[in-house]
Amino acid sequence: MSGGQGSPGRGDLPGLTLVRWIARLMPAARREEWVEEWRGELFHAREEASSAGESSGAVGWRLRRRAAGALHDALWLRRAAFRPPRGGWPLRDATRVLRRQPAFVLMVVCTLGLGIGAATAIFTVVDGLLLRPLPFQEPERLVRVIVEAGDDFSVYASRDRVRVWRAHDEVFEALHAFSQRGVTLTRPGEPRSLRASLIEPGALRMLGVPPILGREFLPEETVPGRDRVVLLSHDEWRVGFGGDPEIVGSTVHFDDEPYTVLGVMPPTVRVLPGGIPQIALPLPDTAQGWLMLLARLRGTTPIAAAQERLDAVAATLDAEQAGEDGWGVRLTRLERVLADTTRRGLVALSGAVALLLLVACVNAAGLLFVRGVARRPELAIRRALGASSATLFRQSLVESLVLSLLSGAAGIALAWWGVRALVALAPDVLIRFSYNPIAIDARVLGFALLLTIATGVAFGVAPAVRASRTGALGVGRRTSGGSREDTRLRAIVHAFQLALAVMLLAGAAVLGRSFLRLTAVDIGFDPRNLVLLSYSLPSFRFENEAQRAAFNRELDARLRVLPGLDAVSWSSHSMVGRNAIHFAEGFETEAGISPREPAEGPLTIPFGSVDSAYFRTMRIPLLEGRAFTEADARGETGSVIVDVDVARRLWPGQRAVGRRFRIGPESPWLTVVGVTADVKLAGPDDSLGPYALFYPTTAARATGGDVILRASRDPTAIAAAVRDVMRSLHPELPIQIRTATQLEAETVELPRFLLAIMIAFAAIALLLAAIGIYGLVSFTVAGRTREIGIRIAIGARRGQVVGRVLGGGLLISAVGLVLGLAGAAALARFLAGLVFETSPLDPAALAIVAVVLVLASCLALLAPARRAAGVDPAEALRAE
Amino acid sequence: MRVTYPTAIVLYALARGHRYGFGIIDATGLGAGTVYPILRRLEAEALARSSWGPVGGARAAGRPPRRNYRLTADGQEAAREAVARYPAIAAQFASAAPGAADA
Repeated sequence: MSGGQGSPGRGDLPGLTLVRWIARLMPAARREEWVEEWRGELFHAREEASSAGESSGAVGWRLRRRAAGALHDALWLRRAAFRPPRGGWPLRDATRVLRRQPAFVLMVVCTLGLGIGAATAIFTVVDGLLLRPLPFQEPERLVRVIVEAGDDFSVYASRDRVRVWRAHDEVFEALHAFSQRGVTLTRPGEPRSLRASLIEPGALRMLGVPPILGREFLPEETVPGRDRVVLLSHDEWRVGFGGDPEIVGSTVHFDDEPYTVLGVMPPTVRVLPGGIPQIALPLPDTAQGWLMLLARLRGTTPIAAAQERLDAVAATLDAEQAGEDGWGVRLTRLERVLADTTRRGLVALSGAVALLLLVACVNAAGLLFVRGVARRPELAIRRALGASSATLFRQSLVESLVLSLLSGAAGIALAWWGVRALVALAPDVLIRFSYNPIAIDARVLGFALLLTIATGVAFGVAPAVRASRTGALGVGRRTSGGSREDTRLRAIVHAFQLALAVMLLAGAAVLGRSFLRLTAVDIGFDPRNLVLLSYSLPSFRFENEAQRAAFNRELDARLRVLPGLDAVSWSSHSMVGRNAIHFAEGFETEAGISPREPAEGPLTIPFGSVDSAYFRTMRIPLLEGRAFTEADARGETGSVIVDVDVARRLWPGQRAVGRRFRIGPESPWLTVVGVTADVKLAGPDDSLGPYALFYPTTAARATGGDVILRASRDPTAIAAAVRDVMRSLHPELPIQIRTATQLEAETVELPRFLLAIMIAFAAIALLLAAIGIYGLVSFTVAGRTREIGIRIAIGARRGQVVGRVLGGGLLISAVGLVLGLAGAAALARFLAGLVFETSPLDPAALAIVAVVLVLASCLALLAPARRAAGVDPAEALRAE
Repeated sequence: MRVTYPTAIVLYALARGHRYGFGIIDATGLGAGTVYPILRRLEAEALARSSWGPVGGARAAGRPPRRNYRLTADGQEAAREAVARYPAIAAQFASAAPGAADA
């Protein structure tokens, strides 16, 4: 086999070795024959050359060079062997076909991109809030430790409780206390107030989220004097400090004190028990009061077993040492804190976006159908040329997948933008306390890819089946309108599209009605020009009641002299909305009535403590009796004021003033001294009960909470003045100043957000459906040009033609409407928990949907109908 | 199918009676790496078909048989179109010897 290299003797043909070597590239079945072909040519060429007297060296060289060309030959044949025998490369053919129809591609990509984008954006939010595990190491082993406090359990524990429970390392691998406070960053840059989590050394290790730069706190750094150290949150480091990689070891100033930056926490630390930290400081050893406990269970101990073990320990501990608080603890899994309505809202949004995606799919399928009919001659030719139905099916499906992948890319771009918009617009209650960052990452991209492929299959299969059924008989027949079956398919797509849009519209309409009702509710007080100052006095600064009273009195005195104030009132958690989170449960009147209705469960009453000026300041009318007095506030009389809902419930048809009741058998008797008009203390939707109960308090007794100020004019000026007063009194105290109007808006921000998204989705769905219908009907009309031409020729009036097209279209729309309403009824229960005094099948809302739909259908049908009326009979007949 | 300039030349060469791969290479001046893939393609698209020369005769003469290529009816049509599209081809061949050389 040295022929190629040796002298060109008779036995070894120059170039043949090379050919044999190249032959390895050839498919085995054709290798032998191929080598033979080349051998024949090489042999002949050599014979010819030698008979022409050419030197053997020159011939050898020439033939070897020519043999090198066999490489191209072999490669070509090799590639051809991989080519499917008929039908070509599906992907290459698909892109070639699609490139010829940019307008069609653009329409499909816009439609599907919108659907995929919206679905991906909503998934990002739902995934972050609901589905994804907490971003800590083995989060299932993390538990909150809730301690016995009096008759109840509290999330706040005292320092000695921390020490006791930390000693039980047979149950806990680690247990740490968390707290928080506000600090002011005084250097570098402009002073800014920051939220600081106070954490113990080892807390980040317990969570399994070590700093990405530097290290966490050491035990000795909790000692005063050595505790001027800080960890930055990832966001604060990135935004506040420009992501400076050399930040560790540098000095920053909080409250004018120098602190050394020890490190940067990872981006996964968004929420720590008690708050959303911008920085973390060491929790001082001496910290008292509101400590929240988080622990990691040892090994695989189940929560129930750990709880049992701790119950047993609690029983052996010295009851006297515990005082009235007891030693009991409750362990609960560290969970995301999501209100029921939030959860329901997220489910509703997921459903809505699924419907939207479905509309987009149906729309795209409709476009493919129309195009499929137009392409039928081409498919018929391919069929006639021998393409199998499997080939046509595959080809059509691959085209759909290519389209969906393009749409997926567009959708992800849209989602990237959409998620930012959602996070910016979403109410605090939805996004802020998410442990997981709400952002597009690999997981979301994976979801989007799956969605894209599923979408491509979903909208591509039906048209692909149609394509595969194309017979060869259609060659040369020009049927632009398609068959009777096509017409029926178009009608189905038309009706289905509308039905889906109707379901979304119905959801939006019902939420809209509900929202209008919600915002129309009289919350029982006058929110205009009301300013609310909220703060709490930390117990490590204000250790006893005297100190707190002194601070509050001083503040009260300074507030009262502010110009432009009509009234000042002190209260605790007694403004509408999320502050009203306190409930009394289990009632007893003197008549022995404990009003419970099996359906409602125990009676819960939102309550607050208010001073004598409260009702005047809030402009809440007193229907009976009187407001509180100073004597009431001293707690001597056991006086309370209830709203009219409570009075009617406990003493129906009677005068409530002077009546007595108590909360539980051990509680002292309370005497009603006044009855107010209906107050929606827990927000306008009464979701936490319609009742309101007020205890007396004074500025001196309040531990913080709400100071309500009624301005005589612009409340923003007062807000600024109040901020200055607080700063001068106690610059470090975290405060919040809001107007009652803001607060009132906050109570409905979740419904507002849901409604806005629903409206947006419904509008997009309606638009897509209308465009889809326009396309389908236009196509039908185009296909019936000849028929319409004949009708006009034999005397049909233009009006009749318009009526026929409109009527036919509206009939299909009506079917879609009925189907959609049925679908909406089936899905109504998903809205049940989200609507306020509105049936999920509110007749007025559904009527509006019907009207909107008919209008949209008319708009979509009008242009094709007019085009039909404009058909020139002579032209139409000639064209066919 | 797409008819490139080299394809047109090969079509014309076949139409002129060149029947063997090396013969076409000699007649057109194109490389083997160009001519052979074109021949394969023409055959795949049924514009040309190939067969083995007289196997018995060649073996008896101590020579390996050669594979020869001919245009089909479609191929002849394609060759006419190719010349119409690239008139320069015919001029280029006018000086070259006819296919008899490699017969």
